[in-house]
Amino acid sequence: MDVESLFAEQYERVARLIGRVIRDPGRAEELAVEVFLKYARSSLPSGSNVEGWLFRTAARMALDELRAQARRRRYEPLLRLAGKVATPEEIHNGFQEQARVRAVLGAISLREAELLVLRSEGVSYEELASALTLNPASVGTLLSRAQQAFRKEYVKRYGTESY
Amino acid sequence: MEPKAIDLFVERSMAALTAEPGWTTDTARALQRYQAVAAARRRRRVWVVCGAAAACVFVLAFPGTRVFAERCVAACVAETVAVGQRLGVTAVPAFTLTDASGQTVRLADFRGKVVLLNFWATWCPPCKTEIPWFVEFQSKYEAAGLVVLGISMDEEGWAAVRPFMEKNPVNYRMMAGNDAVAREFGGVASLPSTFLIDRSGRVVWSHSGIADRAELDGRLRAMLTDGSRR
Repeated sequence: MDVESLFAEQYERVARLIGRVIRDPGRAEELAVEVFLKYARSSLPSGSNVEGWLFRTAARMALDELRAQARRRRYEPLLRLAGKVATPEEIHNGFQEQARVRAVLGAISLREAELLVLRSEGVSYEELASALTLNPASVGTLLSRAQQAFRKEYVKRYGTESY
Repeated sequence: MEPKAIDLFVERSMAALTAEPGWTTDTARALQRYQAVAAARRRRRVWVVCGAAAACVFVLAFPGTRVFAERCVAACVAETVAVGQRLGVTAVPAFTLTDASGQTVRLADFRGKVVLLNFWATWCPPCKTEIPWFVEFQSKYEAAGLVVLGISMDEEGWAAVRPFMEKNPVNYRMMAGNDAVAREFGGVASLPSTFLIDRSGRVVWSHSGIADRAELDGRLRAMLTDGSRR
């Protein structure tokens, strides 16, 4: 399938996956385009799971961006001293839970975060195994470990679970 | 917390993660952006390739820059050889030349001997200073397993070397060299250049410029003694 057809078919899903993770729609669309540019440069062997590759790359790029944002946020106290306004999370309590989830995803290991993001996109165990080059038999165990790591990090940061 | 409960907790947390409300993607505009960026990157690649080609042409077109580039490459190769020597992973050089009588000389023929290899030229005064030392080493250490080889780098080849040798006969084999042989020894940046090659064919010592006679003598004795012990 040529890149243009693939773009028409998968762009929206790729962009929304990234948008869920990083929230900024403009940046999500930029990164989604970058995913397809990466695909055009890649030399995937014929018969590869292209969709899985796109989702994995999108999840990886979104999580990398999330971590970069977290690093930048470390300097925010200094910016606030310089008169920066509060973040939308601080103004709108409705976004608080999303901000927490993003912070936790940015803190746990990349592979675990990838598993959780892709699984929450409805990617099946078989597709996860193919996209992340995992043994299909171990996907369940790895996913369970990722969930435990998520919960542990969440409790460590915020004390209690909101649910 | 029970595994099932953790599963539910993470599922709910991840479900809270939604894209910006009211955001709709614009696939057509994104495709345009994709095509524009891809075209710009293709153009940039073409410019980089053209730039590299132009730089190569520029370097090779003018004698000054060409010589400079050759010196840079020779220096890099020499440095690589020197590092290799320090690490003990020096590549074994090889060459095939003809001597004054037209006989073929291969470095590989002297495996098992200690070889003193000297690059020189008839127009080089320090080279002429060293030649009597090598004559002396050849006669003194031949029985212990030393072979001295001289490689002239005169551009005129035998036309320059033969008259010189008639006036200054030597007791070791002399050959007319070329750039390929010099490259085998890291480019030979200056003359004279001397290399000591051990019995297994590895370059174990090299020196650019006139050597220290006593030091060279000491190294030869050490190498020949070391070899005789084995």
